[in-house]
Amino acid sequence: MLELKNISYDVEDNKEILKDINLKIDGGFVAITGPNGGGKSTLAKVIAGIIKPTSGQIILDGEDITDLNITERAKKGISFAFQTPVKFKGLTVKDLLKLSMGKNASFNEECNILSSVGLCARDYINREVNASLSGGELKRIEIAMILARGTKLSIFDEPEAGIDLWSFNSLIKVFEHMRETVKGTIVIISHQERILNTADRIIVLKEGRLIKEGARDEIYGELLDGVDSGVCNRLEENI
Amino acid sequence: MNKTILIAKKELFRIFSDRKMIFSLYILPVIIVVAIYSIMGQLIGSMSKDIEEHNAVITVVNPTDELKDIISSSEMGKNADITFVTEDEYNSKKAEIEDGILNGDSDLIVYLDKDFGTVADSYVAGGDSLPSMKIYYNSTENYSSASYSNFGSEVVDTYKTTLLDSRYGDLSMLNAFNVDSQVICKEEKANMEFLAMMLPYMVVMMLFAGVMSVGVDAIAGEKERGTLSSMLISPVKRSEIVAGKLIAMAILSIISAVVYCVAMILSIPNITGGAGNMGAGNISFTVGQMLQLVAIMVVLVYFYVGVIGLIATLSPNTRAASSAISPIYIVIIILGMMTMFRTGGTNSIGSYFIPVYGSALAISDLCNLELTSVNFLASVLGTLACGIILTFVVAKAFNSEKLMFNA
Repeated sequence: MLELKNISYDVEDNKEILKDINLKIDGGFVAITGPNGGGKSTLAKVIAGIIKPTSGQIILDGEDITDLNITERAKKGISFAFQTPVKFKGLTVKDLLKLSMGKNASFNEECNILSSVGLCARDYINREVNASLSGGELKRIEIAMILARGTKLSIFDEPEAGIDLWSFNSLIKVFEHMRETVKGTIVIISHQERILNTADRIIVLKEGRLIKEGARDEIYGELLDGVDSGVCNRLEENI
Repeated sequence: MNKTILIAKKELFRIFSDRKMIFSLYILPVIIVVAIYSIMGQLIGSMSKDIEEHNAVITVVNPTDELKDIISSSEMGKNADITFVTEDEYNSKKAEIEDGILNGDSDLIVYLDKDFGTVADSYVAGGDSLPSMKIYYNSTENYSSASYSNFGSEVVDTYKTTLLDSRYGDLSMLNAFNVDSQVICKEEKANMEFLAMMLPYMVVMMLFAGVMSVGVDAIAGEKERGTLSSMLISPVKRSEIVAGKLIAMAILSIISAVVYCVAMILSIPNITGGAGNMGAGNISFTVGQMLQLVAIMVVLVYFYVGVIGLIATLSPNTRAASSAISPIYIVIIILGMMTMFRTGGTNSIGSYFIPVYGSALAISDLCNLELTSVNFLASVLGTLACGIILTFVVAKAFNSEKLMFNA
């Protein structure tokens, strides 16, 4: 279980990006949403260890990981996917899976992982992760790396960014599949209705504060009813 | 270790799968070196030939008949455009003739005193007075300088010898003792003289250029593109990432340096051929010298990889890294040049411990066959120690999320 206690994050000129966030995430598929500039990506980076909170504590399965760096947190089972998947010129999909798993996988293992993100191992396993791959393929390979690691907590920062409609549909299927098969917690930062609709729980951040948290049906309905116009407007733009 | 190899493989593949990178890293420098040295050799050769073939323009004032005969029978007299004038003619055109020397239109004025012939005759007969000749030339003009030199050896010396011979009969009587000069030097050293001047400078400069071209992109470039961030959030140890990158940078740079050095050694005859005897006949290294050169180059590359790696790690992007590296590159060039024009004096052992400078000194000594084991070890250990320190600092910097994620 991940627990955030009084997490705040300030930047220069004392501007508060995150304000006293208290949150417990205990398994399932969690979507974090809210208007732009609300602190969603910052919160994800704080959890992953890319940035350190100005104050507060991060507890993972009862252990305080606030002072651990990103690699140490990765070893504890936290993984993070950036908005835009990157290319690894010089490395093949097989190499990336090897780096993620920390060992040489059998072809069957590789095939299972790639199949779960909708890729055929035979076609992709020896492909270099370079510009010849589309944004959707890169994103799926990135997700495959996370699956290969078998992490406790996987964080995706706006996975829909830069993905065309057709790839997005495939991505939704991947997330739906992950929801059913992955045992750990999946946290997705997103504005997309279809992703929010897949989540078990929804967290809403606005102006650095956690303003809503609860089961999908409860929160999603409120969002669509326009209880919070700031969030709703943003969602409408994306739908 | 497997992950280190995987990351090193990635960096190597990134370069070797890119034809443009291969061309700019390994082929273009060879073309440039061969072209520059060939062009330099051609230019030096054609300049020498041009001077040799130039018809000197000489004005001789108050010539004696004897001087005229010597000039006409000399090699210079056959090709030169020589004007004989009297004192009055010279005085009337003095400004014009001297301007000709200044402007490069004329090469030489040979002025004999009006009574040169009389005084010369008196000297031959045993008189005490010496005849006087003045030669005016322009030292900033190649044609004029060459004419002065040729006129002195072909005409003036002959004229002097003729007068002395007429006065004393047997010139050997004027000889107080015989001088038999013998050149004692190691032939290999004479051959390597030019290489000793050029190689240290070229090695220290080109190795740095090689590391710079691959190192900045491998770290700062990947940071900019987000690749490094994605790698850092994987459970791969940072020390393995650092090691993989630095090893790949070193391999790429060493290949670059070897290609460059071989191109340079092979090209040197092109330049020396054009310049005549520049002390670069048969250039050859013994196996021991080759091993010493390789050792010096390897540790120097290691040091450079540390320097570039550190700057690239501290910089948020390639632009910032390139800007930060520029002044260091200038320092490297200066350190390399410092060994180009040193005289035979020996350097203290402390100088060999200084990275870059010590390596350049060691390479220079190696070419001069003067590299002692102590100085060799000092240069290798000094540079190696600094390289190790830099590697630790780079590894430390890799642990900073603020630096690695520009957070």
